[in-house]
Amino acid sequence: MTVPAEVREHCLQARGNARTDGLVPALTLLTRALSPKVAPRGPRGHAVLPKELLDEFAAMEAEDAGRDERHDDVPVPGLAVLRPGGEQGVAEAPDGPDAHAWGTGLAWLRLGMSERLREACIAYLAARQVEGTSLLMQQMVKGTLADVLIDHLEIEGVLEELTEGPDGDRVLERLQQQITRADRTLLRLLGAHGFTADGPGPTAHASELLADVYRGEDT
Amino acid sequence: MISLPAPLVTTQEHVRRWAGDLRAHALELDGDPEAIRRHLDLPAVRFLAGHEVPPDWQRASDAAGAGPAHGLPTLERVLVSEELARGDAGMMLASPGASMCGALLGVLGSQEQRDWVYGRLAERPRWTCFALTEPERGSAIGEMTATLTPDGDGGYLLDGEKRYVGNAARADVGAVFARVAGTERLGVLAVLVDTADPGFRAEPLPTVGLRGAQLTHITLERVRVPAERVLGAHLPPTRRGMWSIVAVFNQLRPSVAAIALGIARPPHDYVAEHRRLLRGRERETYEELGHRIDAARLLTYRAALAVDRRPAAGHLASAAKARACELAEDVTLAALGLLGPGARLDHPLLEKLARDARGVEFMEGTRNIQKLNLFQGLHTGKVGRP
Repeated sequence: MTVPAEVREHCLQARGNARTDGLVPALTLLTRALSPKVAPRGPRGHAVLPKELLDEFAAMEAEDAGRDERHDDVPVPGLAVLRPGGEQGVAEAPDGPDAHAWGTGLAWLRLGMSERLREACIAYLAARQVEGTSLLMQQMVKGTLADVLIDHLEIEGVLEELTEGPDGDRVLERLQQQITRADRTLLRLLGAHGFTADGPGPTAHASELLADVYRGEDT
Repeated sequence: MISLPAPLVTTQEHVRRWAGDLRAHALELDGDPEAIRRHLDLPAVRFLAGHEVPPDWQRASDAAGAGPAHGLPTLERVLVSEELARGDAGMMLASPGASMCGALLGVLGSQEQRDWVYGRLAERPRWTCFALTEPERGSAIGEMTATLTPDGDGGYLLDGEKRYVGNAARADVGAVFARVAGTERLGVLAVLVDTADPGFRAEPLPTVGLRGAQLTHITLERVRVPAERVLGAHLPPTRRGMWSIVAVFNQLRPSVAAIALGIARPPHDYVAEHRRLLRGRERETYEELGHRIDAARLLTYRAALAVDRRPAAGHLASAAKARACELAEDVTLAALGLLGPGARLDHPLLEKLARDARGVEFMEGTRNIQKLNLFQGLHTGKVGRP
């Protein structure tokens, strides 16, 4: 990985935190590490962040706070989204995170969330029986999980080697799409359980929203 | 080329005009599934409720629940479903009416049973529900545990739980699948229940998308099922059990494919509207999605015609359902991609469609179920041979 060593450390922690603690705690720690002073913004000024952090940032930049349209607990509890009232992007925020480091960190975080979803999927399917056999042991299910695992392993490898610059941005964009596809594949294995508000669907949706808001402008 | 009978073309044109009203309330319903109650007077909703008919809407007879005079009920349902879902799939699924219950009555209902259901639907807008799936067991017939215990009077007492059932919390009539106590694994019957009867309880399950459909969890505790509410009792035993369930699914799957197409088309149109200038790779992506929508629609039409010609011919229906649901997810994601960073926040309708697209996947069997069905057809030579 070609990001500075301390950023690399934060990225790997983001993945690990996402796997063990979930999206909001992992995003909180990643944001505190890479953008401690201002809310990281996407290229068109949007933000998706833990609402606790947004409260802190809003207190620090009180004069700008009223310009944004903010929705709390969207799409999952503890998260909030900002739509810009004015023109404000990552590039224009002097205290904002380095765009490449932030994008890379988010990709690692989303990989961790996808791996967490994979584990949840395995646990759910192992507990479901059809004709006396666990659903997990159905050949199609095994094959699908193996496909997702291949994706996860490949994504990890590419993220490790990611370089800064236009090529890196394009690769990052591709990786984010790949993570979304892997998540969708896993959610399909869960049937309607992946679609209800009490299942893993809303968190996967939040992960997609993160990728959408912080993707590059012209990749 | 598939040429549609003239009355079907007329129906399609009328329904298409009515669909715009559904779009106008799509986001409102996404925020509040009960909003449908404020729009029961829209022509599209009245049509689904059975209270409005397009011109030339001729039925085979005056009997309640009679199919269309042109004899292509599945194709008719496909055309209507695609057009209305293009308006809004959530509004369409939230609407009152016979819906899936109607398809079941068409296969398994006696005329008395159809009269009972359609008679109630005629009184005022009323919802119905179709309860098959169970918690922890999905829709596998062999795993079903909801039980019908004979009451000694020709009827039954119904116990069990159902999950992911659309509209059950607002339904007046429900079709419920359950096993007769003490019978073999596939000894499953469908019965009609009055949801006002003691022991029937349905609670909404909030979902990521398609919120209008209002999925529910149903608890059944000694719900009384009189003998006359047991579906298929007038039919020979070979036509009651699995055969009927397969026949109903074969009819419904092309409609779900059509709903998926109805979800896929608006984001494609939306991109054309909001990104007038698409160049290079973006233009190719956009055009490729258009070709895929057209191809999936043809497959869906062919699937519907196959079922109308022979109720057991459901392999194309599985293919259409699997393909159209995949397409709905792909198109909605691609459209967001073509509109740049933050598209999910700046284009709420597209964002909603991306969530809705995931909801058709598990209706009438997930993609894996369709693939297993297709493999079975391939293996037995019932599909894939000229």
